[in-house]
Amino acid sequence: MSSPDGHSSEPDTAPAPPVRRRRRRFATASLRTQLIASHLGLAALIVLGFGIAVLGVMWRGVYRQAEADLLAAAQLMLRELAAGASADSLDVTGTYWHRFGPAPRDRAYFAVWDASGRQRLSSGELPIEAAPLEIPPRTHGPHPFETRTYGSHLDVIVATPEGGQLLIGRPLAKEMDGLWRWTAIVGALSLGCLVLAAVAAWWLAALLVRPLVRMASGVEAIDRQTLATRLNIGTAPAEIERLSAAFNRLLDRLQAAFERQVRFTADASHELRTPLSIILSQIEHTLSRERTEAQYREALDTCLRAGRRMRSLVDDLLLLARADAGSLANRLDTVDLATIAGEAVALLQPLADANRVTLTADLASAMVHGDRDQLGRVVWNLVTNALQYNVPAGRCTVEVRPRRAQVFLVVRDTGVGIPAEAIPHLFERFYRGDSARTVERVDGTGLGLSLVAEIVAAHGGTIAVDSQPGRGASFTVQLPAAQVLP
Amino acid sequence: MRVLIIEDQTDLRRVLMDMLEENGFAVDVAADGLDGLAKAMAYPYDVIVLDIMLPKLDGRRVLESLRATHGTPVLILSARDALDDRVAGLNLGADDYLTKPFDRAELLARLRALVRRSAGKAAPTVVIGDLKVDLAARTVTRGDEAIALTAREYALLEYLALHRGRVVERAELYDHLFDETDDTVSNVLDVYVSVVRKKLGPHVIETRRGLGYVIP
Repeated sequence: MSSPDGHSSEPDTAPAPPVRRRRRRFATASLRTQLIASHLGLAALIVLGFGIAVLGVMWRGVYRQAEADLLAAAQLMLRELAAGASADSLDVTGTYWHRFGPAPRDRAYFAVWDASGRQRLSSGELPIEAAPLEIPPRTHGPHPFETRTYGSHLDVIVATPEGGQLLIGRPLAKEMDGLWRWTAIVGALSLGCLVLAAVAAWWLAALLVRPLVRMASGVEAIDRQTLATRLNIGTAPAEIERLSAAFNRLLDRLQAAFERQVRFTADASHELRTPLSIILSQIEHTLSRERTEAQYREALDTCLRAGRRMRSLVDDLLLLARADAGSLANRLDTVDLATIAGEAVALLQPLADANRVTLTADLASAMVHGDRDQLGRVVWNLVTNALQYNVPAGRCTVEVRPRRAQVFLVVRDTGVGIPAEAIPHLFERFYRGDSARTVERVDGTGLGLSLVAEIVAAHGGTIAVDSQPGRGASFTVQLPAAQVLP
Repeated sequence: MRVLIIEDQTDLRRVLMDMLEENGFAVDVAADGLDGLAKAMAYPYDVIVLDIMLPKLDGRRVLESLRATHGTPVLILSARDALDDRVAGLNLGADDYLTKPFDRAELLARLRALVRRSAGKAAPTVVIGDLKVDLAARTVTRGDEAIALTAREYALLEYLALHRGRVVERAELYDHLFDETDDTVSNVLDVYVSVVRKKLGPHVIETRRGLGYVIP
């Protein structure tokens, strides 16, 4: 809002008063309270409706009966009039007199008017509301009478043969008494029903809530130490059993992940401890007395080797941590996998020579979206493996070729091969097959292939391995080809 | 004392070997489980240092197979430091468990304690007449005067002192004082014995002709 008078001393945007959110008390109340309250509310509604309906039907019946009785009495009186009875002697016949009740408050009253509206006769205690109708009631048809009610009075008016009107009515006192009695009975019954409903609701709520409470305390009892325990809530409604089973399955996965993490940490510390103990032991040993210069040099060489090993291990661990955090392959360039593979092969040629393995490359230009360093790592690790697990005078071929929308990198070796039982574990962290242990001079961290798998997956690709023991192995990496704009 | 080191890490194996040799042990090495087990079965080592994660044959299998026939003291030297690993190792029949990275002094002390205990001598000193041999500090003293011995000379005295009262055969002494790479000329032992006698006195080590040597 603008202030045309220029008063700007008050800030335009005064801090809005904190919106007081109405707490939804019902939603936060205990399940048991909610269940009992809703049950009881529903039961009360039903009982109330039912009671009203019963009383209504009952009152209607009573009213119809009273109306019919009054009409019958009126018909008898009309017949007497028609028979020429003296107007003075006209009265409610004995049967109906008894039926209406002898008590003064029940007693019927009546009056007769002629066609001109003059009152010809009347019983005593005629209420002032008892007057003839403006339009006389019909004499034929399905409804040859009129009724009128006021207070608890019911009047029936019929036409006399002379064109006048006959009114007979009575206060429905004893019917009202009966109705009140029935109201009391229905009310008492309803209250009883409500009490029963409350008990049932309490029981039902307990039935539903108990397994949930058991489940909650079971879940609360589970921590790092008791991750192996499972919920056992006994018999419970199907949905709660399903929830409990789902929770147990979640625990299974959680425990597996936790154990994997523990094992990984133990493996990582194990792998770090070995070079660390080499450094420490070597230094302690060397410092324990005077050494020659050659001995110092040798000791430093040993420490350097161990330190380098630790560095490569830490690098791998950091890369894996990035993979776990999902931040691999964040920087995507359009790169030629053939160039990357060519560089790695050139750098690894000395290792191939040292292992007396013929390293050849067959590279066709193939563009992919990816991180140059990480893709280089893939080629490096696969080729290093192929060279280290090879046999003397063996061969290793690296092939890059595009095919349709895919790019393939295939690294083949003629080495010791991989036993079938090791293949499912090949990409696990720190997994080193028996062959990895029996081959001397192999000095890997046990993380190489799991890193390859993580990087390939982060680039949207897949890796497959095909091997038979003694007949070498071939790793096939498949990556989506980059869309090169024309 | 003759010790076997079964360890697959080349550098660590070499450092351990240097360390133990410098401290008077005759050291044999094995780079994998199979080789280690074969050597452990073939020679009467005083103590074995065993790694758990070994190529070809796991350290636990080595220990299991060895324990079927041999009671050689075994110290497991492993990077696995979880309580479960220690308990499992000791339950398999290992006599001690040390985790990597280890302290040099601790490793040496534990190895010597294992050797002493297996020879039935828990006390770290042996008194021979007016001579006191401190097995922990590896020193020999007469009164307040320390007597300097070379590692081999001390090893000879130590072995006989540990098995004091028993006549030790020459072959046994060769087995325990020299490693597999030592060039053991037949009379090299006599040379050491005579040098030790010259330094400590003529009656410390007695010769039982045709049987061997004894410290009575």
